[in-house]
Amino acid sequence: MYDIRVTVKQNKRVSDGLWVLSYHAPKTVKKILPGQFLQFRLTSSTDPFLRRPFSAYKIKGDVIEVLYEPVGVGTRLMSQMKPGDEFCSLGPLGNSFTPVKKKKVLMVGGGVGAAPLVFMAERHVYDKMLLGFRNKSVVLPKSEAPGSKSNWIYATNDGSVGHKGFVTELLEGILKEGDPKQYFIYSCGPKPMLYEVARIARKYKVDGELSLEERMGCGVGACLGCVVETQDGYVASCKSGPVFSIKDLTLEGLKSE
Amino acid sequence: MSKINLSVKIGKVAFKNPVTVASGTFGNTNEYEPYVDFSRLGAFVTKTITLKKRVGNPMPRIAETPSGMLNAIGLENKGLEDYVENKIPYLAKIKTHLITSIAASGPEEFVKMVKVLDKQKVVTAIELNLSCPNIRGKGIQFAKHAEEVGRIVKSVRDNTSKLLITKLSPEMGNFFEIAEITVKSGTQALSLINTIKGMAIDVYKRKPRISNVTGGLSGPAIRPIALRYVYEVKRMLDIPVIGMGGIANWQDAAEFIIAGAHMVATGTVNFVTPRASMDVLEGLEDYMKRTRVHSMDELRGSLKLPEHILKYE
Repeated sequence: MYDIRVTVKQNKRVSDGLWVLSYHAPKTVKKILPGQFLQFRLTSSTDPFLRRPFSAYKIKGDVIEVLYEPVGVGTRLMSQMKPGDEFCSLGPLGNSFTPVKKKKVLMVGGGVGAAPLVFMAERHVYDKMLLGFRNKSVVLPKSEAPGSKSNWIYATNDGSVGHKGFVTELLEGILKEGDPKQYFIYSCGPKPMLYEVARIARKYKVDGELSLEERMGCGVGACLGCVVETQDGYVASCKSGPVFSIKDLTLEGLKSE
Repeated sequence: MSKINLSVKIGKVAFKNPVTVASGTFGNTNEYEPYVDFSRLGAFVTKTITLKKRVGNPMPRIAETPSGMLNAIGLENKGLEDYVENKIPYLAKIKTHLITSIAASGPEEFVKMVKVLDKQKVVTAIELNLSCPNIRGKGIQFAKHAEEVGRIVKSVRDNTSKLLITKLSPEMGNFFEIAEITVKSGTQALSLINTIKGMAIDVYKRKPRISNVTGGLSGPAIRPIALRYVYEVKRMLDIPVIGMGGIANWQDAAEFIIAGAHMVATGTVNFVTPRASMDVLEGLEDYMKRTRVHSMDELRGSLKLPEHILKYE
């Protein structure tokens, strides 16, 4: 784990609403695994005060890329950064997805929750990438897919791209069709989506892992501000997670606040 | 030039330097090990423990606010027994003083805890957290009455030979009356200040941004308030103070020491800059070199007050 000062290499839009920021971090790239995250301190000012967590999206040589949508104070500040600007990157933090053999992998992503799944897809074989977005403007384009693009399937709330409705409906459709036992799920996205993924996985008795996007304080397990309910009670999602086996989480704990 | 003496003495305990960390902001064992050489700290302070395990408050527990954050963790911890069995063995390996922060429902429970901790050689000092603002209902209460605080401190004092520190918050009713009674009841230092109650609302959901509704405000936002309490307590009482509340760099730390603090603690800033305590330590040492100050005794309480203020002393 390193807390390093880094320089923006590139900061560009990949769709109307989604951005990718990249920076050199030779030591960090050697260690980081799909599912792990980084805590950015974008300014030396105290407002915004806390760091912002981002999953690693892609690794290209010595360069780390993160995917983000400018929606809050931190991410809007990030979208204004230019090549050459400096910021602090802490990581890699948290655990990572567990690679599986002999199972067909279904990835289920919502919004920027696609990021760790694309990183996983870069390193491991998968069957389908199911991605859900609000509408066309925030869809992660197929040109971002590592390798084959044919197994990327979209859902949007308004039907402007792909299936009209929730990405979890695509997941249930696939599990209904074939033998659910052949599948394994990796999923990341907003809590209501993860709740649905967990509910469906339980219904069809499919194993899988969820990466949680809790708001975080420290990112290292000290503040206990990002706890999630597991079968054994609360644990810090930054340290015990962000990736959890679906079996270990409670459905109640995945309900939105 | 002669070497700078950074050591400070509180009671009979000599601390190698004045820089420590605020309880609850530095984990319980190895959370910050990758970033900080713990042996360089003046003391290591663990997150508040209680007699029995506490699960803490529901999420959301934290909310960012201008230059700070609100938290209502609710003293989540695994309890005293777990601390002694599972944390102390790790903490014993750290080559600096250990300060154990505790909270309890009243004098009897505090005494129960202190009797156990008193047997732990590795514990240098006990810090009484009488001021966590995020606890409701039965069990641990926010100690608000001076007599109650006095009873707690006195009964703890009678049951341990460890260095005794009491942590207070401006939220505790008559602050200066309470500070005075803790000193009279045998506390050997005060940790000033704990968080200040605050609130934030999500205007779209029309819901409080933390589930506890109110939470403790910390970070640079509260620093001037913390500094004022340290200054005023030092003017009033002859008691060593560990200053904390929004300290983010060496300048902030120097302010507290000049106002009279024996030691200083980095708190919420540890979440943002894990190395903050080390930056403070190095910055302080460099500042003392540059300004030709040779010891902490020389810097502490060296505030130059205007004539018209001194006149009324």
